[in-house]
Formats: sequence, structure tokens, C-alpha cells
Amino acid sequence: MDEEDLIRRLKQGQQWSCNVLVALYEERLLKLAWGITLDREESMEIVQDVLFTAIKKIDSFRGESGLWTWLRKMTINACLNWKRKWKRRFRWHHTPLESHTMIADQDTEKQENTPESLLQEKQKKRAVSDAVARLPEDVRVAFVLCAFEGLSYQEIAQILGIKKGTVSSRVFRARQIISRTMEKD
Amino acid sequence: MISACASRILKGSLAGLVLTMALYSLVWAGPVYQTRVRVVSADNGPARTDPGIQDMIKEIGPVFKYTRFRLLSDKTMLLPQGQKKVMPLPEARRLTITPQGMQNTRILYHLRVDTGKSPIFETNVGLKNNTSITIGGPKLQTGVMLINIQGHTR
Amino acid sequence: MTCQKFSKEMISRFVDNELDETEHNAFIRHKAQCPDCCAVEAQFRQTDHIFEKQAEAMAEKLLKDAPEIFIKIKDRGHPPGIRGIIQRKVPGTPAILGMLSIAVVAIIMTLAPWRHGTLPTGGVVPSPSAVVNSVDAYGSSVMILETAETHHTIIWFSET
Repeated sequence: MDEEDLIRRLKQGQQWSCNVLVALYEERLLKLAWGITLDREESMEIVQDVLFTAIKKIDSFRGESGLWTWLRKMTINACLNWKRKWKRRFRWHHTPLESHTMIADQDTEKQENTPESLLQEKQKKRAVSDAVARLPEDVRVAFVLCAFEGLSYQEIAQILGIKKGTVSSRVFRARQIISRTMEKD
Repeated sequence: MISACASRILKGSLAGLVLTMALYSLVWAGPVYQTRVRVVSADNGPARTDPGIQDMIKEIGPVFKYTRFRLLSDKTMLLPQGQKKVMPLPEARRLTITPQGMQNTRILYHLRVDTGKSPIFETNVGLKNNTSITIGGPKLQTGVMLINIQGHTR
Repeated sequence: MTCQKFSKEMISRFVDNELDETEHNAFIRHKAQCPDCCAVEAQFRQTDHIFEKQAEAMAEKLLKDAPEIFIKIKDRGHPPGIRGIIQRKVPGTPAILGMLSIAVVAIIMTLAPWRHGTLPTGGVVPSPSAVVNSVDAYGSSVMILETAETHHTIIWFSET
């Protein structure tokens, strides 16, 4: 089933097409949402809301850009608006801030498996994790769109409503902060 | 000339009279509610919880994303029913507390936060005896203010 | 450290293919002879890669741990109302049987002990520390919370 077909079926209200939409995009949207918010519950809520809204408003989707571009834009806006909502003050499920939570090591890229190299790898990941958590959100958003989505500075500038030069300096700042943290370790 | 014995009797009677009047006025005034108000600053500074609020933050700390909790003031008052008590809050705000009686086993409080000129927040709550409620959060520098109100009556 | 010829910001732009053609080619020629600039480029690429991998791993983990996202849409092929719901949920079942089962559930819910604050085991549902009879935040949004363990009441208003 191609994208046009999927959109047509969504507009017809076929339940199966909703399931397909969710299956196709939820993981990618979660990756993006988590990259921006660094919060599990928020990411899940945002992605659920975005998919729900997309299905509800599918009739208004004109197809000028692809489905992914549309979903991505909604997700970014939702992530950015989330911080302005007072709800962000709360942790709903009493879990600590996960900025320093290391994700279970699922690295399948095995270069050398010596204890030293594995430890170094782990330390690097922790350093990146810590540094990313310290990035100001506007810097992190630009960095995520660049590093995850491979968008050009011009595209990022349009999405965020800022100048191209600002995108360049934010992306650089993110890399600089992360690199410095890695150097300290 | 009054004898020493009569003088002692007189003094005792006067003391008794004063005590009776005091007790009478207490009864006449109605119930009194012991009310404790703690004002806390919550922000994302270096992780820390002041000693005087460990109990409170243990209860509510996990709900918030703040890392630093500092006790700004801690006052305990005996408030007769119907009496308004106005307390200053940081950043030129005021808290007005009025105990309004009992509803079953709950102490009724009217609480109001304002700037003196305009209201910010107002609520009527029924507080379980020996428990507290927390209100937040008026902005305070880089964080917010939390106001914890604890009520007690016999 | 980089050499003086190319700043770190330029290297960052190179990583993103954002240098103009002249600068881009100049850097390619330069880095062939400059280990410092090579190292900076490699470090930038590595940080991007590590962060992206972390996000991918997190997304995978979230999907494993959390209930599946399922969005139900209005099926336009069935009548609305309870009959419609029954027919959608259990296609082919006579509507009257379905309605009877809902009635049974409703009766159970009405008589259920927990409606009166008593759990089936005989325990009492703890009440919150404060009951909010009225609240006015003069235009700000308000939320009333109760902590899970101690049932402490929190009133939160977002000052505008």
C-alpha cells in the first residue's frame, strides 16, 4: 500500500488504515519527541495526540508535503508547546528526571569487546546523555532536527521560524557543549 | 487595713475572675484552629531540601520537577473561627486565611492570595484534621512558591 | 583544538553540508593534511550518532513497555448509539443479547460495594487531605491533584 492509498483509506475512515498509520510512524515520532523533550511520558502523550489529531483531521490534509512531513511538524509543535503548558511542572508517575538515565545498552556495533573499550563506550554514551540533557531546549530542537532528520538549515529555520544563521549557531553550540562534556570525561 | 489573709483571698478571687473571663471569652468566641503555614521556594537549583520541610517534600516533591526546595517562612497560629489572618508572602503578595468552622471531620478554610490590590487565587477547602494542603505556584524568581497549610483542632 | 584555518563552527557546517561549494572543497583538501580538524569532524559526527542511537533505543523501549497506541475511529457502516456500539464490538450477535449484557453490567456497577467507598476486601478508600469546595484563579488555569501514596491534596494554578 503506498502513501496515497493509505491517505485515501484514512479519509474513508477505515480502521485498518489507522492501525497502519500508527504502526508506520509511531516509533519514528517517538524518537523525535523524546529527542526534544527527553521525557518518556511526554513523548508518549505527544505522539498519541499527534496520531489521534492526524486521523481526526485527515480530511484537511492536502498532500502537498508527505505524511511524514505533516506528522513531524505536528510533533515538533506539540513538543515546543508542551513546555509552555504548566503541566510540565509535574511528573505524573513519580519517575525521576530521566536526563541522566542511561538507556540499556543495546549497541550491536561491536568493534572491540575488551573491558576497557566497552567501558570507554559506556562513558561516552553517558557523557552524551548528560550533555544533551543540559542543552537549552531551543538548541536541542535544532540539533535534533539536524542530526535525526537530516534537514537543511534552511528547512529547520522555516520549521522553527528563525534565521538560518541562528540554526547554524544552535547546532554548533549543541555539538560544542556535548564535545566539551565528552572531553572532561 | 486588710489583713494578709484577706489580701490573699482577694488576690485569688481576682485571679479566678480573670481566668473565668478568659475561659468564658474563649468559649464565647468559638472554636480555635491551630494553623501552620509554611512558604517554600521551589526551583531547579542544586538539589537540596531544607530540614524544616523534609516531611512535606517527601509527600509532594515527586510530583514536581523541581530539584531545590527552600523554606522561606514557617508560622503557627491559633485562629478563632471566623477570624481573618493576613500574612505577607514574597514578591509583595499576601495570604489571607480564615477558618470557617467544621464540616463533619474537616476544618473549613477560606484561602486567598492577592497582591493587595488585585486577587490572584481564592479557594474554600475542607481540610482533614492534622493534615495539610499545598497550593502553588505563584512565580518566584526562577521558580515558584508553594504554600503548605496544616490545620489542627481538638 | 583546530588549526587557525577552519573554525569549529565551519567544521560543524561541513558535517551538515552547509558550506558553500568553495569552502566545502577547501575543507576536504585541508583535512587530508590536518589531524586536528579531522578529529573535530569525527567527534561531531560521533556525538550526532550516539545521540541518535540513544533516541532510537528509547523509542523502541517505550513501545515495548507502554501499551500499544490504538486509535479507534467512527465506523461509518453501523447505526449510532448503543446498538451500533454492540454491533461493532461483537458483529453478528443479536442486539438484544448485547443490550442485556450491558444491563447486567450496569446492575453490578450499581450494587458494587466500592461505590460506597468500600473495597471488596472490606477496606476503606482513603480520602484526600483536603476537599476543594470552590476555587477561583481569576483567569489562570487550575489543577487539583492528589498524591498517590499519601492522598495529599495539591491545588496548582498557573499564574498569568
